[in-house]
Amino acid sequence: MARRADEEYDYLFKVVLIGDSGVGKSNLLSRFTRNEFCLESKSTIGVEFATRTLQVEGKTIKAQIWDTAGQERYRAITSAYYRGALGALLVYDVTKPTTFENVSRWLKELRDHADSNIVIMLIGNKTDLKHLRGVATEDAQSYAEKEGLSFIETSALEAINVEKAFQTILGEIYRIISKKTLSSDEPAPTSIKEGKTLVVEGSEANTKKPCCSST
Amino acid sequence: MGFAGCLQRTENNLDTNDSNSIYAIRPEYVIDVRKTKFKPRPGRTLSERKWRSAFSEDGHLDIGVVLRRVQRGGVHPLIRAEVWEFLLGCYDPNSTYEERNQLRQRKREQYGMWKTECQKMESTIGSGRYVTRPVITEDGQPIQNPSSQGDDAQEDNGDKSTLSPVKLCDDAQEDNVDKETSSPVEPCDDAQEDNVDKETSSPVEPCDDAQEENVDKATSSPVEPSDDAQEENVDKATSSPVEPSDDAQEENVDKATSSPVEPSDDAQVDNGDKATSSPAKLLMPEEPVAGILHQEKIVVLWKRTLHQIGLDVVRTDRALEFYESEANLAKLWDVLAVYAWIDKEIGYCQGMSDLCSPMVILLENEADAFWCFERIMRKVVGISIPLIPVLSGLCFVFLVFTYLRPSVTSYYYCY
Repeated sequence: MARRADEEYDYLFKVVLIGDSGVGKSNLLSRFTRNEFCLESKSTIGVEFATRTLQVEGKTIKAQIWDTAGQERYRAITSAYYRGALGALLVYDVTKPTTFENVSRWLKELRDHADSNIVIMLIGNKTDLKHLRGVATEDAQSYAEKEGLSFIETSALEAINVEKAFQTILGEIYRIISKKTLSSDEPAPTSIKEGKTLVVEGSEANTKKPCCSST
Repeated sequence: MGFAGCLQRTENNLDTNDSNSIYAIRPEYVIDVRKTKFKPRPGRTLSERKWRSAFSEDGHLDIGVVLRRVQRGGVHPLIRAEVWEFLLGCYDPNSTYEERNQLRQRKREQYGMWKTECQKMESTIGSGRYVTRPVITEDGQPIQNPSSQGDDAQEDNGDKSTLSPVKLCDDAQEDNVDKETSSPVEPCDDAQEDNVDKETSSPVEPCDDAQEENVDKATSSPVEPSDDAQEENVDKATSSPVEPSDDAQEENVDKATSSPVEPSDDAQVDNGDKATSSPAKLLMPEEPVAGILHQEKIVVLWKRTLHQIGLDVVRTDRALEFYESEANLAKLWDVLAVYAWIDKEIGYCQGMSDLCSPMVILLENEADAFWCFERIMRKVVGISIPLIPVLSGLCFVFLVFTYLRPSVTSYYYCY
């Protein structure tokens, strides 16, 4: 059954989308997970997520992508939002310099709330609006290098580089995970494997414990 | 998807053309738009005839009849604006035409005053335009956006890629003129009138639950120590420390936070404040020392939300032809901006534009749309948790709409 095939995967990776309001986070998500671009998309309320299963370096990865409202006041729910996230796509709008200037704030946000090993990718979206470009590729590139982030420019509207962006970040996450797996002889510690217990990093002791042990 | 989608088929099934225009969908979106299952059904849907006949000669409304119809078959699009005002509790079904006219007038004036107040702080308000870029830095430095409108317009076009250039419609200007002439009301005269009205014509702000009770009191004045009396006590408690019973305190909090906007009931308080800048007080009634700083901070905070509102306004129900008009986008922006100013506890929260939009579409008068939206927000806030007000509240609003208006249900399913 196609359905079952869809549900079988080697790894489940949670990746969050962050960035200013209106940069196109939701459309990146819909382009990646459903290959859709919604011209009449609305502002995101709270948190949404979607998944897609794909092959990365020969493994079946289920990518669980979380999308959130860009408005600052929704930051109240961020700790839950970042929990367990292995990757973050930090999106800005290439036509709006202010959204690029705010990238540093989002990085701080990540450092404050997310796991310190989280893989971060900077994404300049809306490259289809060529005549309106306000952020030079080189500027973003050098900023990303300085901050140690990977970087790509995308157009969710024209479906340019979206697949590549997700593939890249999922690949990076996979490499990190598999390295850890090799070194510890344990199944991928920070990812959830279907049918297996989620192992919290560094605590191999509680793998077999029932969740509600009432002595 | 969206509001537009839900209404598309409604259009086709209407027997009249009048209401079609407000729900018309822009051709480029027709394919994307989801179709509604709602259609007016004879004998079930609340028709215009049935609606009119539910009023007595002097204007008392038999809300029971109306509700039964609404529940069974929704509301015919032609009368939605009027019906919603009652369903949302803007007007007491037991009031007379005369009382409602007066209240409407007062509400419009109140909105006009708030809008003028906002206009003084940010000139874009009421100008028929809106902003999508920050107008102020976090530390309160104004950001100069020379010809910001032009830039914004361009950007927006870019975003939507198919949109026609944004123009200032004549309508918008006319609208503004109207509002400007009608709004600046001399506070003194009005204040007096207000008070008189209240004594004679009763509270026409029906508490949701105690609607019927209110009505009784309105018509047959004899004092009945019930809910209303309690409310009054509460009001007093705010101004003078009388018996801070737990209940009263709780209610105080409710009032201060969730429903600061009550032109009729609180008119006395309001009148006093109007001369200065009233709403800020509602938030922090007891902070005289740091008052000025605090006030500045409030203004900065408010201004910081304006571009966020703009960013959302341009993507609210954008499949509708209604929002091709710059004036209508500005109307939505104005209502949300004014709301953010008078309800500082909530301010603006993403998602509110979607709640506000149907009101702005249905109610031609901007002030009327504002007050409907204000009622919705009260219902939303009433059951929300502090951290994510709109999130949790949406569930409730969703229920309300499911009940009131099937056609809009799938719209709110989008969440």
